[in-house]
Amino acid sequence: MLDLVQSFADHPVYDAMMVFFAMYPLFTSIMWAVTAIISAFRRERSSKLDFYELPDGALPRISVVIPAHSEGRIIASTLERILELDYPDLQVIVISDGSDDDTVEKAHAFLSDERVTVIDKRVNEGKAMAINDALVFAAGELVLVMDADAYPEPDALRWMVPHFIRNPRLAVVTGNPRVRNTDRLLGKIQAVEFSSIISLLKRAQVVWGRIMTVSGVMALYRKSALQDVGLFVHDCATEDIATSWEFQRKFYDIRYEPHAMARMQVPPGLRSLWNQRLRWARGLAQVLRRNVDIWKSWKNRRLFPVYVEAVLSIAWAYCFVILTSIWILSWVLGAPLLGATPVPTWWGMLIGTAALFQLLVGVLMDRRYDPSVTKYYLWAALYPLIYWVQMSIITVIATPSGILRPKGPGTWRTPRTSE
Amino acid sequence: MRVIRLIVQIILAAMGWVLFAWLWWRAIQYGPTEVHLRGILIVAIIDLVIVSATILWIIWNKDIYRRKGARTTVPPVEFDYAVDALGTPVHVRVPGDGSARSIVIDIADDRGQPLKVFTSAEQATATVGDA
Repeated sequence: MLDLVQSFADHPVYDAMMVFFAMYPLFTSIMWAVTAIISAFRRERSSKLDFYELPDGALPRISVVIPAHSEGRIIASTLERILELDYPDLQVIVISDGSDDDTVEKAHAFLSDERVTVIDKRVNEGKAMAINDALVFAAGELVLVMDADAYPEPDALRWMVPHFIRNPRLAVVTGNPRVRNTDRLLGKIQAVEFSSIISLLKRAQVVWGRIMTVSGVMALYRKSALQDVGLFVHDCATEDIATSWEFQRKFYDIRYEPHAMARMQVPPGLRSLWNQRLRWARGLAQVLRRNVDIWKSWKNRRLFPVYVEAVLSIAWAYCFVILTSIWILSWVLGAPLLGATPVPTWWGMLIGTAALFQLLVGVLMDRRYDPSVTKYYLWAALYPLIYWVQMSIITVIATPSGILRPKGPGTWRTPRTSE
Repeated sequence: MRVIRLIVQIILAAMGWVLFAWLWWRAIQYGPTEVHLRGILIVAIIDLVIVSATILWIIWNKDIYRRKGARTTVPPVEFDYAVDALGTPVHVRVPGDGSARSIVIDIADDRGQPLKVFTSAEQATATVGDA
């Protein structure tokens, strides 16, 4: 065993892995932060309120679609908030997808409001299929798709709609999801994380010209664009990532609107977080596999950076797990220590500090829209400890299944552990 | 309970930052200085490369925009939901005027083949009653 480890350490691949392992996170952290700062400087420096000011008569009808599977505990409170949206012409469609609780009954209580339609889909075919079925009844040209546990801010649509009026090639505007259940430790850490991985990355990707994904929590779609790409991708673990790529492959634009906020629930425990991130990682691998043919056409060149960055992130996770395993193995065998030490050295601390700097930039940018996020930076030091290990292991586990099975699954489960 | 939880969380956060500071102190204490300088140099070079590349990228794209203008053409879309993404034929029995606001979607058996049927809740109840 010792010989095997030693012979691998003598191989040039080992050296390449070590260099990549050390350089990649440093490069990306700085790149995300710097590019997002440039993006915010160009787009958010002035409030540009005249862009958003539209009279009620100029606002098109919007259909809000809420796919729900066994959401009886929360669907009423979500509907209450959606009906409080500051928008003159709304249609609200709740579609229960094979729920085995009282979701339909709870939603039926809102039928006295003439804006509400309730669809009881008896067979669970998955979230994407549920939304696609609901679109048959969507009267608006714009469709807001929301998770059943998300509370939109009342003015969210006012910020999103003007983008569509001023840009005919726009397919979707993605909102700014904020964490609602911050009472638990993981909630606090995810509040900081969402400012970084959602807000900061989207700002940076806007500069590149293409976005990895819209936020499935809340996004406003142009119905004709959805129809043009064959509606939501139904056979992928993450329909939001897959559909975003379908739009961009047809040269539709995607915008990120930080003013349009929705308060959502995040997994409060490690097990539910693990399951969520496993699904995200598998969905990403599926999307990469399905879209590998973008490389055949130069026309898709604006998607190349997003694709390469995703592949390199997965490669880094493999390096992390392999090199740390080699270190543990050499330590256990009493050999000279090889691989990546779990106790960070100078370079490891540089990487960790760059990650914390990236989080800080994300928080400072989002503070303008959600001042409450600043205080959660107190818990940011725990982020690399908890997330890097967990996410690397998840990526290593989920990627092969996503690549080998680029299609599936069809049904969904949404275990909510808190209201 | 809430207060205790918050206190524990604050202690954990403080421990995280203390650990962070200690690891830095340890790294500086035991690491050779030339490695430190090389690291700072690499970070500075990365910063410079990223800022320059991003600014060039923006200038290049603005130039394309100046020459070609905004992309405004929208492809004509014809869409027919006669069959869903799973290949199941769809039969919508609900009036298209929006009058039905309680709708049921079920998979029926159509001579051995699945058929996705959209009906109003009243129709669905009547069908069950007839049966």
